[in-house]
This record gives sequence, structure tokens and C-alpha cells, in this order.
Amino acid sequence: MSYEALLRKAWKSGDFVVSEAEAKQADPADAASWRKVRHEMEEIAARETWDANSCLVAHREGIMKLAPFVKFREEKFGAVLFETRSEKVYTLSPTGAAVVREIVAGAASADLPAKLKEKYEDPSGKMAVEAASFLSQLKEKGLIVE
Amino acid sequence: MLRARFALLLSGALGADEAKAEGVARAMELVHNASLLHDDCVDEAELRRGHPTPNKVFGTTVGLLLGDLAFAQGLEEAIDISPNAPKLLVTTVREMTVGELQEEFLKGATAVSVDAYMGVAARKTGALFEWAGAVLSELSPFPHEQADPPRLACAAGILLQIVDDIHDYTLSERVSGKDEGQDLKNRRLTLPCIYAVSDTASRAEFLELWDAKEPDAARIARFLKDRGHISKTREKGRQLVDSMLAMIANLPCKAEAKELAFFVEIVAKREF
Repeated sequence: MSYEALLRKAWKSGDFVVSEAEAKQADPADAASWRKVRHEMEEIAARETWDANSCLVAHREGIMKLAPFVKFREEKFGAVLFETRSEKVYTLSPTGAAVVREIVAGAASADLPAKLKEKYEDPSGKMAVEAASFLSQLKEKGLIVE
Repeated sequence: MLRARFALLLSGALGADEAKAEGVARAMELVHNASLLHDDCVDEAELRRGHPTPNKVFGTTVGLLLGDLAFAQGLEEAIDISPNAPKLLVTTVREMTVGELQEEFLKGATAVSVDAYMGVAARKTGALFEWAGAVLSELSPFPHEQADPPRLACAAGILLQIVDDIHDYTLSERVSGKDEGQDLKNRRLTLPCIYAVSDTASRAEFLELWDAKEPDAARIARFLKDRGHISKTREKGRQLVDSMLAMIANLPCKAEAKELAFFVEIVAKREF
């Protein structure tokens, strides 16, 4: 019996005792909650693949990669790059996060504008310009290698 | 004791202090065994390394407490390694736990992607290896940035997880030393099964076997093997090996790096 179901029972009957039969009953609310959480976790887990992707592309040539000791994370407050030895943290704009996501997925720098165009609307062309400038900054700071 | 062996080999290839490297190896094994003690309680497993589990012999409470003790001892080991080691280990244990929680919430899911599986593996298994790579890197007196020891080590952890997940379908209890078919029993879709689900030719038949009232583990194992999903899983492992070998080539102590490379190949191919 779920905690929610127990509360409902207690509200109606005033008692918190659960019989063996009740304990074994499947609660539809429980099953629905579980399905919802599982679905959300499928999406979360599919997004949070940064470290695994970095491991897979480390040996590939001709693509951009996170520099050694650099990690990418997307948290609730935004995306960051952090250099694990110096513990320097770089917070990223939405454009920056989009660029780094493509890098982590193994994009070549020549393919980056097309990949961003595929996924994001950029009628003013501002994103393409920002992305190019951001890429130079990342290379300059030694956060990515090619 | 694969973790300990990996730590000692990586340490040799980095030229790190031997005594400290042994501390890293001990900490890794203690933290790993802590997670196994807890996992066996959660899974109600009866066999581990060919022996009855502590939770089977003494009960779940003792199993959990032994796990807590092993975690604490692992942290104690880290204190003597370097100033940064304990702080990094605490973050690592958090990552391992997040990975395990993600896996727990994914039980019963059939829409798990390869990416999601790899991400979870990087946390629940790769993170502890990554810790060893980071700590040993700090202890190395030689330039070695291109080897990227933390990433190299994380890759080793993910590889180990992939091989373990293959073994759940290919090794008997007698050889593996643990209960067979645990992933099926726990409704955990691992990489061979994820490939089966994402293959249009296999999907329907696989899901029928997977969702059967009393799923037949042997039949599922045969299906995965015959349809090439075990091979495809090994190929994924191979990608990681190739990545690791490229990083290993940049380690400063070349003779020891060769031993590490050989070890990585063994891990990928082992049938025990």
C-alpha cells in the first residue's frame, strides 16, 4: 500500500493499521506515479551522458573534444564547464551550452553551424556569430582541443 | 580485484608513489565492496564471488551496516593519500549513488537509450575509477596531460560495466560466482537488451520474451547471442578500448603503460 493510499485510508477511517490483504493490493496511483517517474528518468539519463561521450570520442581525430581534465555539466541553474585541477568554473549562456553539447557529442568544428541550425531557430543569425566567437574563446582558454 | 589492479598499473604508468598507489587501490576496493554489500541487500542476492552473501548469512541489517563500515574505511584510506583525495572521494560516492538511483528509477523501463545506459554506467561504475585517475594524476611527477588519466580511468569503469552486463547473460553461476539472471530478475535493461529493443527486427520478439509472465533467462540469453546483440555490445566495449589505448599511449612510463594496455585488453575479453 502506498503512503498516499494509507493517508487516504486514515483520513476516511481514522486508523493507520494496514491489513495483510490491503498491503498486497496494487494501488493504481502508485503504478501511475512510478510510470511517470520512470519516463522522466529515461529523459534525464539520456541527457546526462557527458562523461561517457567524452570517453568514447577521446581517440577520434578531426573533431573537437573537451580538453583533458575538463568536464561539462548541465545543472538546474544552467550549464557549466569546469577545469577539475584548477577548480575554475565557467558558467555558460544558452548558446554556449548548445555549442558544448555538440562538442561533447563529437561534432567537427566545420559541422557545428549546421548542427546548431538543425536544432535551434536562429532567424537573426546571432546564434551562429555567438557560437563562432564562443568557440574561439574555448580554444583560447584551453577548454577544448581539436 | 580488478579495480585495485587497474589503480596499481595506472600508478606505475604515471610514476606515482607506490605506497600512495596502494592506498588508492585499497580505497577503491573498500568503496566498491561497500556498494556490493548494499546492492546484495537491495537485490536479496544469495551468492557473491562463489560464497553466500553476508545478508543471506546474517540478515539485511548486518549487510547494510557492513557496507557503511566499508565506505567509512575507504574514506579513511583516502585521508592518507593526499589532501584532495577525501574531498574528491566524497563527490565520487555522490556520483555513484546518483547513478544507482537513476538505475533504480529505470527498472522496468524499456525506452532506455544507449546514451542513457552509458551515462548511468559512467556514474555508477566509471566515477570511482575516475577518482583513482584524478588522484594518481596529482601524484605523478611527470608531464602526462594528454593521457587524461581521469577520463582514461572513467572509460575503464564503463568498459567493466559493459563486460559485467554481457556476463549476466553469458556466464553460468559456477563461473561468475554470483546469482544468474540478476538483471532480468531486477527488470534492468542493460546494453545487450537495449540493442535488442532498438533493433526493428528483434524488438517485438525480445519484448515478448522480456515481458512474459515467467521470463526464461536462458532463452533470452540465447536470443541476444543469436541475433548479434551480445556482439554489438562487445563492439561498444571495443570503442572504449580504442579510446583508452590512445590515451594510454601518452602515459609517461612506457613499459608500465604497455602492461596497462594489455590489462585493458584482458578486461574487455575476459570470460570470468
